[in-house]
Amino acid sequence: MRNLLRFIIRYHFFFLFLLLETVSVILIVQQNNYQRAQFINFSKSLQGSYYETFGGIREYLSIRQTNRDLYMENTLLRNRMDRLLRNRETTYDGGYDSIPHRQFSYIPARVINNSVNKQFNFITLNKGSHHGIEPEMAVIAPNGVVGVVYATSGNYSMVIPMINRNFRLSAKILKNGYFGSLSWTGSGYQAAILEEIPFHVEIQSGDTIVTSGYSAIFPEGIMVGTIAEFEAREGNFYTIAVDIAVDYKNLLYVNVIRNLLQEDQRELERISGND
Amino acid sequence: MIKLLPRNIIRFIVLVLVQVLIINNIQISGFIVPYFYILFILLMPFETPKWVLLVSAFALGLMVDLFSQTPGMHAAASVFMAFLRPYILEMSAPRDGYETGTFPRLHYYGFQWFLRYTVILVLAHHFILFYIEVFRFSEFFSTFLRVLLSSLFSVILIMLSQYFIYRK
Repeated sequence: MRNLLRFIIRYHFFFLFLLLETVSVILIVQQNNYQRAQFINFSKSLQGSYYETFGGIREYLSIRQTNRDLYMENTLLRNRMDRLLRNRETTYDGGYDSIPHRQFSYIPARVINNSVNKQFNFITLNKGSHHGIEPEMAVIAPNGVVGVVYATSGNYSMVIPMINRNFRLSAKILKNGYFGSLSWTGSGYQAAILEEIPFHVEIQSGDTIVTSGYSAIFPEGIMVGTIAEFEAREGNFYTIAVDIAVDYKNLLYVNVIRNLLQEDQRELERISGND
Repeated sequence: MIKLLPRNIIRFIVLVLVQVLIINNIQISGFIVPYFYILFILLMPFETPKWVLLVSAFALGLMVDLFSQTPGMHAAASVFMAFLRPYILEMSAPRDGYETGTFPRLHYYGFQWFLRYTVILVLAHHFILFYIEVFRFSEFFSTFLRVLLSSLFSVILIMLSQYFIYRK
């Protein structure tokens, strides 16, 4: 301790210089908007490129799994497209509607940073506001719901996944349409809880849970998970433990969903909410 | 010797006022601004304790910052300049050292000595100041040109002041 003091006193000129410069730099970064923005930009881009590098390595390692998922999704999409085409031929009786009634558009993105072991997990994607991503857009993976976009920068965006204590989702049971509120238990990246399902509804473990589509963020019917077990704890409602469909530890390619009619729906609901 | 302190304090105040009231409002061709206030650091006596040098440079920079809404920028540049000053003085000392009772002025040590001393320190100060102001390296050479031109005007002002104000 004494040696340290002696050292500091001996070189007091240099240490005082460092101290005063540090104070100046803190002042500069905190008090000047331009310099602060530059500073934050710099640290964010540093973070981004770091995550991108390591994301690249991870991408290579799990390429086989990813290939399989893509293949499966391709098949699914092809099936769906086929059905839609046939639908259109039969529903529009003779006439052809040239305006597509499209509600959702999909933006592909890649996960470059991801955490599963915290209470408030976040995911970083490699696309941002330059690519049309905005806060409150839905994020899905080939096998189910991932989360909701929370914030965006120019080239990156941050997603609150289902495994974050702040996440809430309106979900329903596929076979009978009863809906409830889904949240994370906070323990394990595979377990969520579905509440507010009334007691009289018939459910079994293994039943599929999908999004209800009421929130104007997620499209209806996207896979959330399956029922693991359930119990009637208090009053008239079940507490249902849900196995989350998406494997957060092996998450690479996701789609960000823009709801083109979201403003429409919000506007209408605001009007009826005011009365 | 006792008169030194009030004299330096008055010089401090006068230089800050001249800088913020007059010189900050002169802009030569838009982006060249001479900084005259650093004359205070140049003219402090040889015997000034080093820590006083740093602290007063910090205060000086902060005063100018307060008046030009750039907290910290002038302070950082001035402290850097004050940090360099003892080394520059040591480097350019005459063979038998500085005589007691003299000050780092043109009057005592001649035009060439004072010019060299001024140019090095003014360049150091302006370099730090202008690069902190743009805060990035992407326009390195256009900033560098501004550093050189502004330094030129600052040095001219400081040299002239030696003939007009500190004649004696």
